[in-house]
Amino acid sequence: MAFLRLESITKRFPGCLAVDHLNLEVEQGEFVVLLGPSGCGKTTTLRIIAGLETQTEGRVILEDVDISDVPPERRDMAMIFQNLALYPHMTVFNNIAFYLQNIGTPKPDIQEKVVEAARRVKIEELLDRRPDQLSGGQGQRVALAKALVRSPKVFLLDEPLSSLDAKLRAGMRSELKLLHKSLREEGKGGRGTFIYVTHDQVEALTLGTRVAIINEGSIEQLASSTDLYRKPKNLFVATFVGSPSMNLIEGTLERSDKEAMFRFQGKRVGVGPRGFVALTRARCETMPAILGVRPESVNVVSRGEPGSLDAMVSTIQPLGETNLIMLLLGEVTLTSLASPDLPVKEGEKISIRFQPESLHFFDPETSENLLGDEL
Amino acid sequence: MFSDTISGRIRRKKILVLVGTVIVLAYTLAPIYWVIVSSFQKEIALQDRPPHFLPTPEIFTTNHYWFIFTGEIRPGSTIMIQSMYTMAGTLIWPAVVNSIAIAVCVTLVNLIVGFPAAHIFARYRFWADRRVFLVMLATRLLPSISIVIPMYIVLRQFNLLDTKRGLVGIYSAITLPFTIWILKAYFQNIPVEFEEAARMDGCSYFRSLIRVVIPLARPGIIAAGIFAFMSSYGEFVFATILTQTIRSKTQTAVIAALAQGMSSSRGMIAAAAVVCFMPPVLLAIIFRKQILEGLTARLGL
Repeated sequence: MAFLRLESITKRFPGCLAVDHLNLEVEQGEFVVLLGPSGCGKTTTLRIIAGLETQTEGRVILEDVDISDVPPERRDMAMIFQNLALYPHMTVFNNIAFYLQNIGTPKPDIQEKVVEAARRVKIEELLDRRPDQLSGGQGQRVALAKALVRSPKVFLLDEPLSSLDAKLRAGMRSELKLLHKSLREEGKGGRGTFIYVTHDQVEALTLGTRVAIINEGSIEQLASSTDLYRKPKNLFVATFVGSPSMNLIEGTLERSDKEAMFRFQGKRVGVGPRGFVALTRARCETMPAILGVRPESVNVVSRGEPGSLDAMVSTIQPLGETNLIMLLLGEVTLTSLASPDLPVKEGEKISIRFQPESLHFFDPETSENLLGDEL
Repeated sequence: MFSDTISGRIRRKKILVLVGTVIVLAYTLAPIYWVIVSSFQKEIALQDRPPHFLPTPEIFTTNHYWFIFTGEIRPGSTIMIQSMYTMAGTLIWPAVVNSIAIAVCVTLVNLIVGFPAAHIFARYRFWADRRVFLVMLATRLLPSISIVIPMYIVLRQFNLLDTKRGLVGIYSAITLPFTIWILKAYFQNIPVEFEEAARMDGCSYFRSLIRVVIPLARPGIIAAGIFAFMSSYGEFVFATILTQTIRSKTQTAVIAALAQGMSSSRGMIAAAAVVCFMPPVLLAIIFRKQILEGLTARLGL
């Protein structure tokens, strides 16, 4: 049995369905990230787990106990809010100690635990300050210490890094990851289970042991970061994960001899064994499909190479270590990532090739990945 | 006089603001100054034309206050002044005490009832929340005089005429809407995350109110309390009609009775007025910061 289970959670607000029969199982010690565009229901889901919001339907089960009706203060979960919510009328020490004080921990124990938690996130020298005397990064650490000090069953984090600037965010991200790792290694009864909400895919992919892509109130795919990137289940996941996002081309997938071909706008391109698998799975000789190819799998090759396509360079955007090249393929616009050393100029005619081993095919009607589980 | 530079313009603006402030202050404070000066003048001097704007030594006296607090007429007073001091003057201090007692009770009722009510209005939605709130506020629009007769009958039914308890009940009812209004606005300015964080930190709903909401809303709570105190302290219509004896008479009722006597000592009336307005003035001076903060919170409907 999973450690934390959401069973068919639904939340209706007046005039809107925020969460739609969402199922989720989280194992002890996991770091699960809920990732999705704003308004997709990820924060509402987190708040339902916390007990701050009551679901319209469904059950929340923690360690095989239905906690759907348990008030938030008795769920033994710690939450870090987007705006941190450090109590401005208390010192940092009292902010961290607040939970322990509320459950009546003896004073010497509180002192010891607070100092230990503060040491862990390196804020011992800030204990006498008030929240308004802290910088963004320090506030973040205090919020973290506040959650750590109580070793809760589950850590809930609601976009905790969104208020930081990019550099600090990267730093806190790796510290969070380290923290999760060390909590797991200490094996404090599996007291390192994290559920983390964000709309930032870099955060999600780097932090999560598994990432749930949420769209319109339900989970599109729950998988490891690598799997999300390499094996997107449907068009939404394929385009949402990855930046710049996957190129999509509408056309027809067809079998010819031993090979699969993709036909679009009067052009034909060989799509290798993966196209073959897609056709076989669909039991079709020919079918309409959307071809998906990631920018880094669109390669510029020498002109006229067999199996290549002719394209025109429309713009080049240098990103530092790579160049983002916008290509015009008839009426289709494609993006390609290429080394800055590649000698192409804007307006130049070039040839491109898709790496056959990283192509995806989607059903235009259901938007499911036609390769299914055989990715 | 000033060059037309930015700093010059700012200076000119500052001076204008200062002048305006002085005019407004003079306008509001002049009557108060006049009452205070009068209360320290001999009765005979009060009848001089033109009047004395400063209590010079030859007209200065504390006899009026002496009479109010002791009921004794200082030896050496003229026969005229003896006839002008009425015994009602000695009721001023007990009436002020009554007023303070009533106002303190009203303030407590306001906070005990108004705090949770305002929190509910600020945080919870139900189908008629706005309507209930507006109807409640609308009761503030009723002129006191229009409900004083029904109130008289109600109090008589409950045997509460001429009691402090009766007045506490009525004043609480008429001050609560405003208290709830101020507190609600104040709560709405506090991010709800603090309360949610408190719940996550192991507080029950009531504990979160005590440990987090009250400390965060302290200026608002103090301001609301002071407004309840002030409006109850200065209430006149109910106080005059629903009280008969010093058992429950408030300072407004006694002052009114004092001022009605055509031949009453004006110095004594002035001294009585000063005694009456000192408690709220002191309160306002002590809590001026909170009053300002509480009032500048957005009073959103």
